[in-house]
Amino acid sequence: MRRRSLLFGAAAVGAVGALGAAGCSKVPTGDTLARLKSQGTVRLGIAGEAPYGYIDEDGAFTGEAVELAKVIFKRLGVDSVQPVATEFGSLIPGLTTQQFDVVSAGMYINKERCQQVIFSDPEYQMLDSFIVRKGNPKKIYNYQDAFKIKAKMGTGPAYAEIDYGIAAGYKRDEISIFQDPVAGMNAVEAGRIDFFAGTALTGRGVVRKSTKAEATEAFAPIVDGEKQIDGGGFTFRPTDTELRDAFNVEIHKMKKSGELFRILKPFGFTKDEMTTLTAKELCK
Amino acid sequence: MTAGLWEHWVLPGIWITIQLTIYSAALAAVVAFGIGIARTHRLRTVRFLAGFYTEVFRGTSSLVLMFWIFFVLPQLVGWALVPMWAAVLALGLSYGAYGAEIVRGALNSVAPAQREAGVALSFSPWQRMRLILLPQAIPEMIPPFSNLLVELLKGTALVSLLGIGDVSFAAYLVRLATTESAEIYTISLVIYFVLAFLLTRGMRSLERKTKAGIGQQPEPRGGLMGKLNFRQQLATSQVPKSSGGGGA
Repeated sequence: MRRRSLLFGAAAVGAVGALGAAGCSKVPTGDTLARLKSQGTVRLGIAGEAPYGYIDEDGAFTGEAVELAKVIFKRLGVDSVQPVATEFGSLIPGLTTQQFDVVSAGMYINKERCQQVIFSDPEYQMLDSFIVRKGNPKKIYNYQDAFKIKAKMGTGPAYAEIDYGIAAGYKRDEISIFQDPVAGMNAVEAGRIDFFAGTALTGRGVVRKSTKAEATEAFAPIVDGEKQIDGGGFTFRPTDTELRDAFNVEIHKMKKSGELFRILKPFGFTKDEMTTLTAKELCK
Repeated sequence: MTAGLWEHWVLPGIWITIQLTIYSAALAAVVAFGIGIARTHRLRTVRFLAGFYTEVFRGTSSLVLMFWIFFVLPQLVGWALVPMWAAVLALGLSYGAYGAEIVRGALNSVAPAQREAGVALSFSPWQRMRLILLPQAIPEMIPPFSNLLVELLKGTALVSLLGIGDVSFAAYLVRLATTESAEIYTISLVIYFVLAFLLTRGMRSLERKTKAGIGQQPEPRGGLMGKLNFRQQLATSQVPKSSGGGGA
């Protein structure tokens, strides 16, 4: 993940010491799966992004990754899941500092993130889509078109879409970063940016109620002349390879039996989003 | 906004914000008085250390400090603070540093003759502080403390970046759930305003009480009567308004 850390970079500056031990918990080490089993609960990092992991209109946690995690962890012998909501940019720092055990936010698997964490094989593959003003007045359908007419681009913090924009010619500081897709949509509606780049499903979901914005047709972003198909999976700490492997075994079984699709379907996924890609391929 | 969102996020969020404010304010008060009094100590080393603390914590960002305690510390020491306490620690330590300056300023603004009288009556330094200086300095501290407390209340919104479920974080999630920004942001503005208003009212009554404790009239309410009261107050109180300076 590309937030190579505003958090750490800036935070390291503040050198302050000596603290009491009240309200502490020992940072856990050792076999994570065994620990989760004995606790009977696993903490899931989610980012508040529909349809992956979010709060629904009744205030309850849901999302494809959350529902999938419930099923898989039950089979691994961990009875309950406890979602922990945070911002997308805090997911990997939160994982490495033990705020939660797994990131279940449908996080795209890519080279940069693979250097910091390990991924399960993806549960879905995904195209991109833009949130644009109603009627798409600037006729923006992909990154290259957008760059040609110098349309103002926006996307989320640490999103993979930043790199697609850069590959099309945008400079990093020309891309506006918004906290989440709803903020991005608001920025499009207010005319601050011309389009907000995100995953196809996010775009469709967010603009549902908007009268001023719409989502473009899904498309595959092009990087170095090659079409990019992204896949999202569960994210683990680099030391938790055993847990990841056990998780993979279950996810492959569910792909074969079609159960995976049945779980993802209510969240707007179609057969087109089912994938045979592996984390290894996507890490390259 | 559905009942579920109120029940699961916004109302617990208000409670978390209140808790954060109370705990951080308590810690900040301890720090402020400790450090502020230490800055008037007669030993140079104590004054220097207290000044050092103030400069460090006033000069570093409380947000970054919070991130540091939350993300960096667990890797250094192998212990992770519960998010709530990490936040309270960061807020308390930095707002305490601001408060320490208020305490120092108020102590220095007590007329030197008061301290000298204490010396003449052979009060110990602690007795002088407790019986002479603090009772006169505290009423002077309350208006700036009131400001700082409201600042702290709003500073608690920083914890939403750690994923602690305060009002701001609830607003963030509700906004995503409803894909609607205007409603929840307006509601959170009102929530903060009401909380801040309650705090300032509380501090105001505390000011009246402490002033009454040293025989001063409550603040005038304005108008002709207010002006008359003000004169009277000047005549009775010995507190010059000079600030800063003054040998510590």
